[in-house]
Amino acid sequence: MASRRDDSSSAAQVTRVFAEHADFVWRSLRRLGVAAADADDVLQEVFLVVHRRISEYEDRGLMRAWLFSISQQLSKHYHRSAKRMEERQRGVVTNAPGTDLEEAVARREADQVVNAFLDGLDESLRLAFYLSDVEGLTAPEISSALGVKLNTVYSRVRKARKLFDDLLASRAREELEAP
Amino acid sequence: MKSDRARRVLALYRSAATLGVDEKARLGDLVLARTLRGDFPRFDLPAAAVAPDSTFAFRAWGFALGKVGLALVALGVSGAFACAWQKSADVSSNPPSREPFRHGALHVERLEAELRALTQDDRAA
Repeated sequence: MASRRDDSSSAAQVTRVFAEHADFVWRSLRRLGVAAADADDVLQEVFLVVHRRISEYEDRGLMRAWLFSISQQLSKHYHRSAKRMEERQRGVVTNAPGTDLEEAVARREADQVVNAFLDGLDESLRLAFYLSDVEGLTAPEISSALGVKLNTVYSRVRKARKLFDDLLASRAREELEAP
Repeated sequence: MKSDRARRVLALYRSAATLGVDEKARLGDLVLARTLRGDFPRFDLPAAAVAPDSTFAFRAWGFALGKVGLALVALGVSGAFACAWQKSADVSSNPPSREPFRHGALHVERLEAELRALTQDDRAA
């Protein structure tokens, strides 16, 4: 009886975590190289692990770090077991409904620019930049998710931001110079 | 700090890569159904691998007030160090000296001796 109650309370918790963080997990899985066709399945598995482990998890304000850590482990397993590498590090599929054409074009362009930038980065910089500037995780959350020191997080993010700004500046110059 | 241009591009990128309401609802239902059925994947993670490292500072940093608190603590500690350092610097550059007291005492002794000599002279006279 008690176990059934535990199960349903855990399911309620998972539902809440899913509602808040499903997009984050889905984007992270895609960024970690899980193919679009498989991302839904792996996403389900992430939340099933959450359900199984949530009793061990203490709410420390590090939920996204925890979810990213699970996503990272499951994506490694995914790459190892299926050897589905052809779509690795490819862009994220646009699922958001477009409002108007101009916005859809801007989104598509941003998608291409950011994906190309992330793909070209060294992995250590890529994950730090992605978690910080795309997903908005705090430095301690990133430090926890990636298992690196806080200072390392700051220096990686700073370096990647500089590269990203340089890229955007050079694109802007090219656009100005284009006939 | 992110530049405005970078912020704009990243916001667009993030808004482009979302699940969509229907898809999210479908996946949420699937996850719930599987948890209630106990339909778990064979692959599992050891608890240690999924338990994030956390300390009081980590937890506190997660909240705006915590950040302010930690900053105040850091300021307080550095202020205390600065005070202690300044005090020790003052003490070492101005060591407590007994010279003035000694000079003063000698001066008083000399005056007393002179006074005694004068009074003796007066008596003798």
